[in-house]
Amino acid sequence: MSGPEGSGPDHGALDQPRQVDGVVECQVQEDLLVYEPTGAIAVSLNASAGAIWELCRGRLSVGEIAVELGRRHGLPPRLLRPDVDAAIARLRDAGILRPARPGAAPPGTPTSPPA
Amino acid sequence: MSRWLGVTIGFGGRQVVVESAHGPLRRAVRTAFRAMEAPAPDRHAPRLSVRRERDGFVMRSGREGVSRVGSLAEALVSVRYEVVLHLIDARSDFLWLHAGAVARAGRALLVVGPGGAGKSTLATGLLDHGFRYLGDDVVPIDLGTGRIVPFPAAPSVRRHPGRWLAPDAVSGLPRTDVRLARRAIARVPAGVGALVFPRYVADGAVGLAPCARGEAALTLLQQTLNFPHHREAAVRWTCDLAARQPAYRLAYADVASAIELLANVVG
Repeated sequence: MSGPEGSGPDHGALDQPRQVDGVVECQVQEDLLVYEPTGAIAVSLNASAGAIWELCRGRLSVGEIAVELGRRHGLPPRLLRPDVDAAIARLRDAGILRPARPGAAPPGTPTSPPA
Repeated sequence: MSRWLGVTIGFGGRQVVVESAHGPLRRAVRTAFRAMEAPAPDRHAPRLSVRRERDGFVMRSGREGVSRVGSLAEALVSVRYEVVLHLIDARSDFLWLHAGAVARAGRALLVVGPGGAGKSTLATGLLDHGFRYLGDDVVPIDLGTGRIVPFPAAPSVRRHPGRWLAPDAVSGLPRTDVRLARRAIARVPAGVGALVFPRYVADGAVGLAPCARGEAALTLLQQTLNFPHHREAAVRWTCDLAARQPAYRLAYADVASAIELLANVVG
């Protein structure tokens, strides 16, 4: 994976992370609770994680998300990148992010060996 | 004419009947559900029958079939469990929480946590501070009104040795049903005024710290007993509640100090 701030850790095919369809979002004061009904998964996000989640629309790479957050907060993206990586890994592991590109396999999907 | 040997327990317009010829068991069931006892059984009410045999008790129910336990105490635990499950099923329109609750001046303190956290002990102790009893282990929420409906099975308090025990060991401590005065029992639903998530710790001063709202909503969701019946409605109710009402994490070693502290949480 590459982006404006260089390569980060492997996000398991989530080059341009995108929220899974059908999630329900509930604002709980400064926090956001995200509920995915198919798997009955609920995740609580603080304000920082919520801002990252909002940018996961399948259009921005992980690096571009760090750039956008840096622009909003007047911080160098490289300082934010570790937190963005960690948040995206957590959201992916929770099962509420999926790859943007059609056909890109979500993490953990079994693949066929080459013929 | 033979005397009917049963106890009818009612809640929310539904009933469960416990039948047993074993007098001590019947009396124990009657003590456990005194505030919920109905005068006469409905013909269609589900029945649990418990028979004393030489090596223990045999319980038959429509839900679980036949089960066997050794002692009277174990039989009572099984009957309590079965009765509660029947009533949860019968009123699945309510959202049921694994929690205790007490109310003062129409505002409830919801004490939420897994077994061994001290829900029953704290809820019972608060009755000496002007609170009325709504429930100690399971609490039904009417999602239409957002209020806690009284489920006044007698509080069942563990006889704690007064020193720290691992959670598994706490869960295994014997319980005693506490007999409440009628005036100590809430008769009408109450809105939630505050949430508390207790945790018994080895030592140290009692501590009450604000809980992040999202975390409070998530913890509440984790303690729902019939989430599949409500799903998104349960999520929206818990989030709305956590956004509106204060939530606290309580760490305590001394029960009396914890109760004193909690008594001031709900105005």
